[in-house]
Amino acid sequence: MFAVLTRIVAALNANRRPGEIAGACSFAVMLALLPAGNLIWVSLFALVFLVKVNLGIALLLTAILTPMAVLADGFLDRVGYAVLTAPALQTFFTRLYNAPFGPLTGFNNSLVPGALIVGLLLWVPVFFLCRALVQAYRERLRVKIIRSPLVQWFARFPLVRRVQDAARRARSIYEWAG
Amino acid sequence: MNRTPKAPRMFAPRIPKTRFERKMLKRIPLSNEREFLLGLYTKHDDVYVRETELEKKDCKHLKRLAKAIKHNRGLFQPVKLGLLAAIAGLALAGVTVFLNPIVSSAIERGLEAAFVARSELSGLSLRPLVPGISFDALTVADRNQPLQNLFEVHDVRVELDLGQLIRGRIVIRDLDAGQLRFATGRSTSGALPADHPALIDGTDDRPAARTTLRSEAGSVVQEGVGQLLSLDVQEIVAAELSRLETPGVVDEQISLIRREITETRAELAELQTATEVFRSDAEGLLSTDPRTVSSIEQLTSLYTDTESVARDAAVILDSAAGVSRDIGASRARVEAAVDAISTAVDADVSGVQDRIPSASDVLTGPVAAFLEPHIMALIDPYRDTIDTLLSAVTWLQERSADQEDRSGVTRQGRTVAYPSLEYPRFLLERAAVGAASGAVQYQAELLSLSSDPEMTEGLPTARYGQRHNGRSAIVDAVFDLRRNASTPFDLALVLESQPIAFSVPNAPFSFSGLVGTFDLTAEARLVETGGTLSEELVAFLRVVPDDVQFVTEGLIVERVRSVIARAETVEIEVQAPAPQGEPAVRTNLDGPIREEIAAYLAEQRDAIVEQVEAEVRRQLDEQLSRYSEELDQLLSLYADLEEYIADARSLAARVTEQRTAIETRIAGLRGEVEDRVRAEAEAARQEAERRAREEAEAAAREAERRAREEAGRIIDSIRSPF
Repeated sequence: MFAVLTRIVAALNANRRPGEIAGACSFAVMLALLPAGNLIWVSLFALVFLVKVNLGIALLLTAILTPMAVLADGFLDRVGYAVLTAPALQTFFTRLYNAPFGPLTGFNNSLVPGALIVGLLLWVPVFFLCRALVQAYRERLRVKIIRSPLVQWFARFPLVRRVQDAARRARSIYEWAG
Repeated sequence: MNRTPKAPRMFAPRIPKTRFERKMLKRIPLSNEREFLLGLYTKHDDVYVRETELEKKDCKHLKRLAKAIKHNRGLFQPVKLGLLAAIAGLALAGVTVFLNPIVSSAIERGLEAAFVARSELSGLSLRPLVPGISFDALTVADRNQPLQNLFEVHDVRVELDLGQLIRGRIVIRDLDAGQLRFATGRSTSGALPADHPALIDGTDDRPAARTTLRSEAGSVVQEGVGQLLSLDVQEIVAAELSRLETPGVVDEQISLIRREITETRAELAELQTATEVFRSDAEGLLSTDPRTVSSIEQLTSLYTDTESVARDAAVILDSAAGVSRDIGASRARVEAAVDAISTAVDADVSGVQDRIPSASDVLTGPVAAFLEPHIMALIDPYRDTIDTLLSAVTWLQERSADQEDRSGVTRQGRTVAYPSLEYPRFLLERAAVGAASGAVQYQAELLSLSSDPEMTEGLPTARYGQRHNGRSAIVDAVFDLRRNASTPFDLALVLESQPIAFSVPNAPFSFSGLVGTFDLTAEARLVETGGTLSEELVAFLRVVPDDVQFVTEGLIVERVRSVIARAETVEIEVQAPAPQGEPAVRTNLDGPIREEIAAYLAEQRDAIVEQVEAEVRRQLDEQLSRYSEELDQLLSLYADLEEYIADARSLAARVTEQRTAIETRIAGLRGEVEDRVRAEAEAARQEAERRAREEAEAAAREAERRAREEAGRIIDSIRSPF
């Protein structure tokens, strides 16, 4: 947890695109909404590892949001069921159902298409919102926070220094890893 | 020596404007970093120029910037993608290089555990993406003969359905085994080492072959024609006499009649006594003629006696009526007894006739009678094979029936089902294997073998073919294992030009054996009827006899031989309705042979029946004569009794007539008395009137006299008053 936190702090302050953090948040929302244990979730999870998003933020947010996603199950179920039973899509879904890997996607469970559709729709606004927030932080708050007397005072504590050192190391690792 | 710090190549002294702004500045998210870079370069028209010398710290900073710019380029992580590709490549290489040997070894271990003998598999090829298995050769040694293979099979190819495999179902689209050979030689020993796990812990979970279809060969040869020809008349007579029911019935009826006789005798004696008393009383009364009696007192006395005798007659007549009713009931019982004896006699006689087989009975299948066990023995091996197949299918069905589907989604949601072909957990659509043993070629095929027959369109079918020197055998078995299937099992068997040779000891007509060839077409099926399975077998054989052997010669043998010679082929039809039922076997020779020997057998049979019947009737006659005597006694008693009753009735009638005569006489006497009394009364009345008249006249005269005397006295007084 400590390492994850330091990575998050490092990512926020590193010379990285804000889109990495924003993408991590968007993917985390999708992963949290989708029921786990099906091919779509696994594929999405694998994609998170392959694209340039902040993995720490993605994993942390997924872990935080997953329990909350249950609250949205009712809505996701209605959306998914409406899509699954839409007459125009019956042919497509029947083919998918009979395709070799179709059942592994779990698409015929109403939560899966519901979460996929809602997650895709949320992906873009979440991305731009998070990117804007990161940009705002870096441009307006970052320097102020670092230079504030409170942080300066706080930074003198050994524990905080350790965090700073860890963040620095993490950042250097980040940069080394490219 | 201090080396001059060198900036990364990316940050050349002159950088085109477009590249500097789009590829570098744009990929530096932090503003202070951007400002640092812009501080190093000066913009000139279309190019950015670095005019100042770089210090060591600037170079380090630029190195960090270069890394950040590189990192911020592109969406994907090339390192991770490369790593993933490498892992995939390694996995593929691993599958290619290591999977086949691993699976091959596992299969060999499994087979060694199953057969407890060395197994070798070569040329195994697994196809994970398009699921399938193929191998060049598989040999399994014989545990009892280590230098011999139990079987070896070559060129095996198995195709699986990927979609169903992903769903956790094994659907074998095609299984083709090119060559299967049995009992082939080995160059090395096939025995397992003593410490092999298969020798330490071996369990056999294979199903035992069911024997429900196995039928017992009937013992028709001992019955039928042979029975008729070997009849022992004395033995039959003794046996038939012991089976007779008539003696028992006769004894029972005789005891009944004896009871009737005793009761009837008692009633007869009682009636006889009463009648005699009545007769003596009545005779005295009846000897008097009422017309001769003139005295009313005598007549009244006679009438009183008659009344008394008539009451006795009524009592006797009541008693006689009761006895008559008893006789009627007794007669009915005796008649029933006679009927029972008659029925028993008829039953015994017809039983004797039935138990001695007639020529027509035993000649329904004279040829089939001695061929039937051999025909069944011919068919039984094939039925055993089908039994084993049926057991295997049932075993598979039971193993997989209780398995449940598992859902992969843990969170709740509604599952929508779409039209699709549903497959059972295990389905073998087709498996074919060819085999050769010497010059014999075998071919077997299995279709639609499924763990859940309800979900399978085709019925499980097993086909087996064998060919050798122009002789062929084809078995086609269809299993319908669905619930409530009307025909769970249907077998078609075709054999062509198969050799046949059998000997029959103790067969009728001295027949001892047959050598030839045969063609067979058979159909066997299990039929579900009311919750029970019954077997139906219809087989048609065409036997071409090369040699028909007889132990001895004789008239019947000659006739049989001539019939067979004329027919040239023996066509046999076998029908077995149920496993326990006796098979009906008919042949084309039955009719001609029947005609040939029917007359002879009929004579034999008639003679035997005549002897038995005569003996039985003789025995029955003795019983019936005893019964007849007792019955005569009873009938005689009935006659006596009826005579007494008639006598009593006659006497009673006479008494009644006598009473009527007395009553008539009494009536006549009563009229005379009345006339006489009326005449006397009239005379008395007239006398009284006369006397009254005379007394009245005398009184008148006396009154007149007295009046005159008074008048004289008065006149005298008047005349001489003083």
